[in-house]
Amino acid sequence: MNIALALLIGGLYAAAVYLLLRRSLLRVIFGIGLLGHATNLLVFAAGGLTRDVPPIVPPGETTLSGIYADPLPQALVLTAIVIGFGMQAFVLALFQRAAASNGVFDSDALGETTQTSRPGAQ
Amino acid sequence: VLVSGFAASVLLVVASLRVGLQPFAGTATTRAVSAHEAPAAMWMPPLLLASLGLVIGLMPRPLVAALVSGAALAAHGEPTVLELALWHGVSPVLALSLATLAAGAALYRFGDPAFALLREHSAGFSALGPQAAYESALRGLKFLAASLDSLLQHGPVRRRLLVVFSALTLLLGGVLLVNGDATFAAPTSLRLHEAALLLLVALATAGTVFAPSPLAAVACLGAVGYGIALLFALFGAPDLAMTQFAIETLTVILLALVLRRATPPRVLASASGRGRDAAVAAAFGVSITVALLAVGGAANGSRLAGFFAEAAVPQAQGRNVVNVILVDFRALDTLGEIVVVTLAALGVGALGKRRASPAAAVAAAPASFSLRFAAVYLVPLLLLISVFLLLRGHNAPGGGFTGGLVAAASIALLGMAQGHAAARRVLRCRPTALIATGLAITASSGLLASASGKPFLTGRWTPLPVPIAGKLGTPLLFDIGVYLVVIGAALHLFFHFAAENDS
Repeated sequence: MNIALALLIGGLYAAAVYLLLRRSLLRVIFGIGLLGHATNLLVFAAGGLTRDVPPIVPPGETTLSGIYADPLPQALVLTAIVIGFGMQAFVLALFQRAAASNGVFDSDALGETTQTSRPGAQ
Repeated sequence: VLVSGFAASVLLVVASLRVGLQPFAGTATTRAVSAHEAPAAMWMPPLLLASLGLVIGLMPRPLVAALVSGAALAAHGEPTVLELALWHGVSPVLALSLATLAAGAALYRFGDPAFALLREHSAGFSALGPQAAYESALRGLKFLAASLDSLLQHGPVRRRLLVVFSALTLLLGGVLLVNGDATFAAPTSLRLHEAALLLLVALATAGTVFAPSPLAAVACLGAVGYGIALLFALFGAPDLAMTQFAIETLTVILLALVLRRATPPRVLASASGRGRDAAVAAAFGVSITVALLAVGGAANGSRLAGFFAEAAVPQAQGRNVVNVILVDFRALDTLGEIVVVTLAALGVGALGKRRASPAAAVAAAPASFSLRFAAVYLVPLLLLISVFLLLRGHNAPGGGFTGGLVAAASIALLGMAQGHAAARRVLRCRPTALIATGLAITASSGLLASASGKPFLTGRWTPLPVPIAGKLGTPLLFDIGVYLVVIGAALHLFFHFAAENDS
């Protein structure tokens, strides 16, 4: 299981990096989404996996005992998921703004217009 | 020591006479054309030092005795008894001081030819001095910065990313090669449904990369997210699974709103460029996989897990350890994170065009009958479920994040079924008002602890259980604030993108 999951996470990262390196801004957005998924899964898996036992103290007891899933990575990933959503939405708004203001869908043209403000670069 | 100290003092006297007397007694030079009174910041420090010297000279003992004897102890190596006074009587030290002053005055009066000679010959010497070294170091730094800049910050963004990811791969691979003895985790069994799930996520990932149209890519990205949510559910993380499900729903809605009219991305890079990018991406993915396997062999579980597992119920009165970490042990982190979410949402609002007129929002395309019909019954039910999730979150899967996302998704469903104006009416206030209220509630739940003398955000509980509700405490208040912030932020985003794309 851990080998298969490690392969999957590597694959997610490879796909995310490939999309981030595209010139089409649309695909960069998808790349950012995949990068978030890959990182959440990486943090979740790096501490070791436990099947079926959530870190919830059963009624009548005061501490967790035996085997239980590590709660700390879960807490980290939970907020990361929500923040990743905010980030994704922000990137989407940037994309929309770039597309609306000068019809830029190409990340190379975006770099040129913001750095040297060359008119008509598209 | 005595001789060199004497010589240094003589030169100091000369320098001070030059600075102190020459402007008033010497011949006027033409160099100071725009001479003016210095600002207060320049003459205050010397004035302070001079008046301190006068004060300490007049009454040395109370002010500096401890300081000087400490310094003497450090320099001399053993305790020294010091007698400090303005007038010690005639002593060799006084004679030496007088001799110093006399020699300095003489050198000032008659020493100009000697100084001129010295200046002439010191030109070659100053090329080796500290100032020259300083300047060449600065030049080197500038050169280093320029060459680094041209290596890393040249051209388009994606070429910089290429450098970054290549470097990261090399570093990661290098570390793994050096620590060649990392023990890999023993493979654990792979069950059939897990293998199917992993395959599904892998296929959806490939679909996101190779999708022919933007909407197809959105669907594949959503499938990746739902698959990961199922993985969370299988491996003991129900909170994560619920959060991921709700987030993925909202993400797909937002992406579809924006991209439904976008044209398919054109292929812009050459075949060789794509091959190079694919090679870099694949190498990065492989290094991550190998690193993960190596780490999995080294560590199993965080050392903090045991603490949280033991402290959750006795100290924080909660059975869901993940939620306890979020709203109690690490509540300050959570507060920071909801502020980040708030900033992202407000930033998106600021990036938009001017607010579309309400008339445009009403004229949204009518949804299908079944969607409108289902929304009538589903939305109240979902809102009820969201409150239920929020309230039980401390002891069972749920909590403010999950509940808030479910509530936001239900309002978004209403918006899609009956128009955004109807959704806004149900909300009764602006999303930003929800965000502000939520932030105020989280902050004040922390301040309640401060008011009773505990550190900010310490959990405070009612001493006795309240009927029906059970024990109430500030962590619940904190979670309610999180709930409101998440609803407000998610809906602010939804209404923003909905209004932008309707008009």
